Amino acid sequence: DAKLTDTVGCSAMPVAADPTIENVVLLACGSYNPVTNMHLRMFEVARDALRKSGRFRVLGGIISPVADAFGKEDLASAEHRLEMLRLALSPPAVAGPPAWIRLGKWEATRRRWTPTRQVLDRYQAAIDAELTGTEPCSTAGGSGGESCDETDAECIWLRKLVRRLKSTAGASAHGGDSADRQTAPLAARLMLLCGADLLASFARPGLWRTEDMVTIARDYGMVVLARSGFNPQKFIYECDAINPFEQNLVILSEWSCNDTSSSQIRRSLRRGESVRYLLPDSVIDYVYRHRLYGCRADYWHGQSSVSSDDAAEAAVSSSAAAAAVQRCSRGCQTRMTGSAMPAARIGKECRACGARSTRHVFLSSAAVDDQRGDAPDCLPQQQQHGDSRHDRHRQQSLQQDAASVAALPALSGPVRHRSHRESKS
Amino acid sequence: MHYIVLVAGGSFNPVTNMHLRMFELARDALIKTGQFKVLGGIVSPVSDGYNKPGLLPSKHRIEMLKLALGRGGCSDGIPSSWIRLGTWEAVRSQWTPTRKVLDHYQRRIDAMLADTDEAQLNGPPDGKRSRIDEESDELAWLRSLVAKLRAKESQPDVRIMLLCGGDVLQSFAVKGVWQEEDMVSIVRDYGMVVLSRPGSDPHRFVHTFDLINPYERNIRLVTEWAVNDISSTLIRRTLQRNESVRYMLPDPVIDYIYRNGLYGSTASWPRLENFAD
Repeated sequence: DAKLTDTVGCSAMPVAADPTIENVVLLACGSYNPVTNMHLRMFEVARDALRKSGRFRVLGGIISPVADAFGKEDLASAEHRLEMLRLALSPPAVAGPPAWIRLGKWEATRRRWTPTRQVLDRYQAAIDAELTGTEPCSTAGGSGGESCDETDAECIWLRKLVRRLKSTAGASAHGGDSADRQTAPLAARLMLLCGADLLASFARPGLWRTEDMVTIARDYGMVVLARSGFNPQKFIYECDAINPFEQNLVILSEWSCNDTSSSQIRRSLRRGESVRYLLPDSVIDYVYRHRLYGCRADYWHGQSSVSSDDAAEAAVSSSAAAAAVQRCSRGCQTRMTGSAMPAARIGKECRACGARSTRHVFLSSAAVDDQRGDAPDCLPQQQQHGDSRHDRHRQQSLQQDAASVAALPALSGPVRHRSHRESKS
Repeated sequence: MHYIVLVAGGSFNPVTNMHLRMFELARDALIKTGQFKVLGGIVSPVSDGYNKPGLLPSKHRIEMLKLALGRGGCSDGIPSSWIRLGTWEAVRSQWTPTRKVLDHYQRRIDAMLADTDEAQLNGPPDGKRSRIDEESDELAWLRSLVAKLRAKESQPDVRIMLLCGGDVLQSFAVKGVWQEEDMVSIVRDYGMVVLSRPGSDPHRFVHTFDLINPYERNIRLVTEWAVNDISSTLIRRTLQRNESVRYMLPDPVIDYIYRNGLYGSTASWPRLENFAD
């Protein structure tokens, strides 16, 4: 029966007929710097595995990239990361797979960083509001006080999902023998979809609030994709906070071991190496057009003939010497020469205006040239009119900074919630 | 400076992102040595005469490769301009040993370089071909590459190199799979680029295998640090189970598989109970 095998659900029965099957929307957070095939594959594997378990029905998925305020080294701007995700999630022009993963822009466009638990809360508030028929603002939980914006596309979509669930549940309740069938209260919830590396980060002191971990494990649940180097089963066994809720934590095996990571892709781009087939072509095209992550535009397009190989060689053999632009929270741009990956840490002061820097954007020299001017906007008047001696001094001190910071050991592993320490209430 | 054309054989049943990635990694690795420039790559799917159970007719495998390389017409990606589909092996009724496939392409290239290439003698000298020719004829494409190269260098050294995975290299040691003289010819006259996973130790194999060890320097071993275990076997199994293969092979190829009901898949992309739309 083509219809039967067509639907990813347990059977052709009316949707809400089996109340023991939990309705779930998968939410994945992360930097998506850039989005890779592995990020996308994770949703596909999760959907299939949850369906197969017979316990869940997956209604859809949301990808919620982190805000720029996260302050991570070499994090491309939210604008770029969102656009790359949009390209990756757009189905191909010709008949293709239905789009079931939405791009959640709320978290990315906020001025400050949002703990994962609050992202879950926000979208859950929309679901709950529709389930209980109340306004979202009254059900918004948590100290974050996140009220669900009536105009947020993902909240609207979630509410639509719930309305459809309700109407099909109503239909099945009226049909058949309602005396026998107990109409369980309709429920739908978000589940956090993540890699085993994020789960392991629960153990890092100060990174996650204990109550957040418990809430995520107890009230939402997690779907965890195995990754080489991590042992999620062992971690759940050892972690007291989440162990009681083991039954809510689904571990996915991914037999096509896919070790593609965004850091590896950024590294390859810096080195002028190919990242083809690790992420969608449309995203690669975007990266090269906007010269993100220190890549060389000529490498992508000069792929075939003899003449283009010179470009490829140059890309591969040259060091990542793209000039980096550091943008402070007041929006001024100070140009740093030399090594491309200096990391100005959170709380560093902008050399130009003294503002505390919370956002770092690194662009290649080509993109910097595209932008107007060399003088930062907020420089005091006399400097804009070019006291060149002062400018040179400023450049030197910036370079020294770059050199000393470049000597720092590279950050390893996900550092998502580092800034949480600062905002602990 | 050696100019290389990489040739990869295999079933491509179906083609996956891993196959395509292999070319990219090999190319980067060769360029990085500073001794090579990579002119192009040729994918040479095996013919139906290979008689492997479950091997789809070459018609399908060729079409899927065309879609994967962006030449099938229906593609959302950017065509790979340096990797081409080679159909010489696939259209032969009998199976062709790998060494003979390499011989075939090398001979044609040598003829182009020596101006004894028949088609070249008969056709327009500057290599301007119609687009249809370019797309369906990997030799026409090679011809144009060689012509461009000769405009820059008088006596270029253009070689075929075999591109393969570590499993193929290890199969050298399995009795009956390879002819000894073929193995020697491949490592001595052509050279190999072998992609292996971390921890698989191809170096030890080359060290201990007497037959090929003398030509060790012609065997380039590349480690694939980001392991991508997307094998065709796994893809077929996943399709059979009506599970998603998305992001493991190009979307147009997946589309083709569903439309033609290949590998036991159902007729369309798996759908959600999609409430919202």
